[in-house]
Amino acid sequence: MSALLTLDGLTVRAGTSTLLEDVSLTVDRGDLVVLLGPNGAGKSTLLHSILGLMNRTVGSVHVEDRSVDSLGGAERARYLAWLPQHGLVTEPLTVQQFVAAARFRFSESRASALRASSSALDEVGVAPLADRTLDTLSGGEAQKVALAALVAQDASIFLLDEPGNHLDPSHQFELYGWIGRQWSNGRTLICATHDINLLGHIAPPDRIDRVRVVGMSGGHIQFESTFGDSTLSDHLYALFQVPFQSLEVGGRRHLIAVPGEAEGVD
Amino acid sequence: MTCLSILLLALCPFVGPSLDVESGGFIFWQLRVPRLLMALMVGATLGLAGAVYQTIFSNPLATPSTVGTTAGAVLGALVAVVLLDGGGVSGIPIVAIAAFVGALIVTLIVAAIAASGRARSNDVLLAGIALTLAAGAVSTGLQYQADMAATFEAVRWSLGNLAQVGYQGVLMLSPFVVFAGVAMLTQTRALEALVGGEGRAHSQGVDVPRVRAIGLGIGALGVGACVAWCGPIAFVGLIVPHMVRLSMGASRRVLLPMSALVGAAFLAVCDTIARVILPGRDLPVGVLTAAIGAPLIVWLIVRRPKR
Repeated sequence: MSALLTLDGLTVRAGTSTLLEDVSLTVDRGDLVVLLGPNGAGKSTLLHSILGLMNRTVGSVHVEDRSVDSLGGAERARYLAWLPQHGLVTEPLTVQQFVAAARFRFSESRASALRASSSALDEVGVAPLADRTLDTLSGGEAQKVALAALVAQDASIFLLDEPGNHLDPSHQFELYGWIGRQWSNGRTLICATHDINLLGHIAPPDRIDRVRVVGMSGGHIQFESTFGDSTLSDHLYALFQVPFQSLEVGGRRHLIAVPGEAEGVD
Repeated sequence: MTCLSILLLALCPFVGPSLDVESGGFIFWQLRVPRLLMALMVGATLGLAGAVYQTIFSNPLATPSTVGTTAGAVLGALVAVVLLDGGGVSGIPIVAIAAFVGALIVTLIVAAIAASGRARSNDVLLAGIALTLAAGAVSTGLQYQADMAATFEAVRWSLGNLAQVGYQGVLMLSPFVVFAGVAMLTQTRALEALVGGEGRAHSQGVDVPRVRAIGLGIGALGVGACVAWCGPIAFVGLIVPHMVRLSMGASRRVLLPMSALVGAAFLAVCDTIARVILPGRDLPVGVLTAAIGAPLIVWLIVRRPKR
């Protein structure tokens, strides 16, 4: 059976600059792929070009056996849901209405959309916010509401663009716990992030080694590895020029940046 | 708000000098009722189009006046007044035809830019404003060249006027208004998703260029027909959606139909006041929509609780 998502030779140019060059990646059903890389590496561009928010210059994106370009909007939305990097709007739409709007791809009654919206809010743990308006939410609340919209859309693949940005530590842990639960329940996720120190929380300890890690810089994929790979910290050093040390705390393994200790780590 | 709007609409034709005269029946059925129907259709179209444009552009200032529809109509009307020397085709004044064509041309250029998918919504709005200014410049040039009488006629037209004798205008306008209104309302779910941003709506399955093309292109058909027949009536498309949003929330399921209803009521009330405020003559209705609407918006903003 073919892979769920196949990127083949993706190249994106804007004017004279090349944002992505010859990126190929295969994502199977049930994978959790973490995209790492310095600012400007092309992580967001990659997610945008998968979604068709940015025109590909060369290359193709296939879900199962079909080119995403050949899919209608509703069908694409069945495969791909997206958490944008930038936060929510400030219109006085209620949380319930906002999450129900994410059901656009379904041909269903209003009552059914509202039911799905309520259960999505419940699943993310923000059911009490249902009647609040978007313009009154805190950053952490807004991010959870945005996640509830993804749950309501119920696509096969979640594309998360730096989901932990601007969150306090307790919200970050909740977020990574949520990602791990989604993954354990069979969802396929691609998560662009800078939170390397928190990656140890992205999955339950028994599955963490299977988390795929893809390093990007300069619009290229530099390495493909897994969290369990012992050479991961070498790859990260090459990517960020910052040494990472592997530490085990409370039964979980974490990668901690240790600047100024280039030699003899791990 | 719904009941109030309907009540106000029903009351409008009974306001004014007593109908208890010989010509009362004529005044009521041939002057006041068609004028009310006209206000209803124009107000509903402008209110709804304003709500749709503001959603498409994610910009509270987007209205038929800022994407070039109105400026195109004014330019078309001026061309007719100055260059074509009046007249008409099968009973429709040439001014109305030219204004309609002008509104469509300018808005369709903007809609084509929007539907191409190349431009972001702010760029499209900017293009609309640029075309508005360009059309305005040509209009001013034409006025400068024209004689006094033509200029006066054009200025009078540009103040907006809903006065009717009989039902010709109502019959002429209603197919455009109904078609455009229904087409815009079919996009409610997509527009609700657009509130969360264009990219997010796209990822949720909305065909963003298509929604823009329908909202702007078909919206322009309705707005263009209204402006052509009655002249540009300012502020309804801007103010009415904000009045509804501030008092009833931002869900497009409520905002779109209520903007149409409140727009109809608002314009009918303004027009009724315009009809009776000066004894023996009408005040241009555009003066009243702005004079009443602007303070209303300020009040709605100020009365909101601090947070």
